[in-house]
Amino acid sequence: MYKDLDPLLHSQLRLAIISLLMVHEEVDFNQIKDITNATSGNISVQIKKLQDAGYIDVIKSFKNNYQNTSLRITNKGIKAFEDYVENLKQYIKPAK
Amino acid sequence: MTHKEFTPSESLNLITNIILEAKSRFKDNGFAFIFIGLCCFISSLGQFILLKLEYYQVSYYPYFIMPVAGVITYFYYKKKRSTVKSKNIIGTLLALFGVILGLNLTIAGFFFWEKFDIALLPFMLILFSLWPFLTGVLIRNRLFTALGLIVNIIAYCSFFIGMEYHPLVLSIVSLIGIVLPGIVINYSHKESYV
Repeated sequence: MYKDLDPLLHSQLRLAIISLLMVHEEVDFNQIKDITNATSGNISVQIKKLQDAGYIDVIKSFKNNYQNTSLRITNKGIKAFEDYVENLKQYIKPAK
Repeated sequence: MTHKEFTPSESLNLITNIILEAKSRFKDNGFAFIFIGLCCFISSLGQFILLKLEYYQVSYYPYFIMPVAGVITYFYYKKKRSTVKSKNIIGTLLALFGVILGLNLTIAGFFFWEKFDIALLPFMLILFSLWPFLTGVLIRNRLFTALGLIVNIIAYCSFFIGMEYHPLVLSIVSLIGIVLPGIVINYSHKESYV
């Protein structure tokens, strides 16, 4: 029985952001832009959606006199990612 | 990257690629290269000057700053690791390699210099050359790889250079093989914050 994939994570950019946060405890906005090659506007929209779902925390601070936005994954986000990968395996498995 | 829905296998590919990409990005300010390189430059040049002034008995004294430099570097990165939250496999590999290299150079230089005799400098330089070479391969930087090869060639050439000039060779190699790559890393680190 195939389980539905979390629609919030089953989107290219949001999944990329969450994957990145799974390996880095904290990631800043520029790093996301650098790795995903997405536009700032697009990233901001997807961050807002992930934040609203409680998957990530957004931390705003100042670094070298510039405003710096960094992200952290929450426990809810980690659980959602792990469930997503588990469900994904069902789709990838060859049919018997 | 576009905002679109995709198939499960594309999804898995994306996760794998992003994680691999994130883990292979090396971020460092080049402190270890610059600091260790400068300490090595000062101590080897110091030895060369002492030998020229005929202070043979104490000529190796300047090298005592090297273990101290190693300890300072260790605590610097230990403190830095507590503030930097990224896990990076390349950084970890280079740090581990730096520790192994430092220990080998210290043991060879302080305890086996008599056994190595004229081969001491070539041996040390061959080990030295691995640092920029390995860094170059891991961070995909041609300059580092080229510098590693140059130091490697100098190592073999030093067999044909008089022993009294070996400390001078080491001081030059410290500048081109360690300090220079450190400055390059430091420059690109600053650039990434602009």
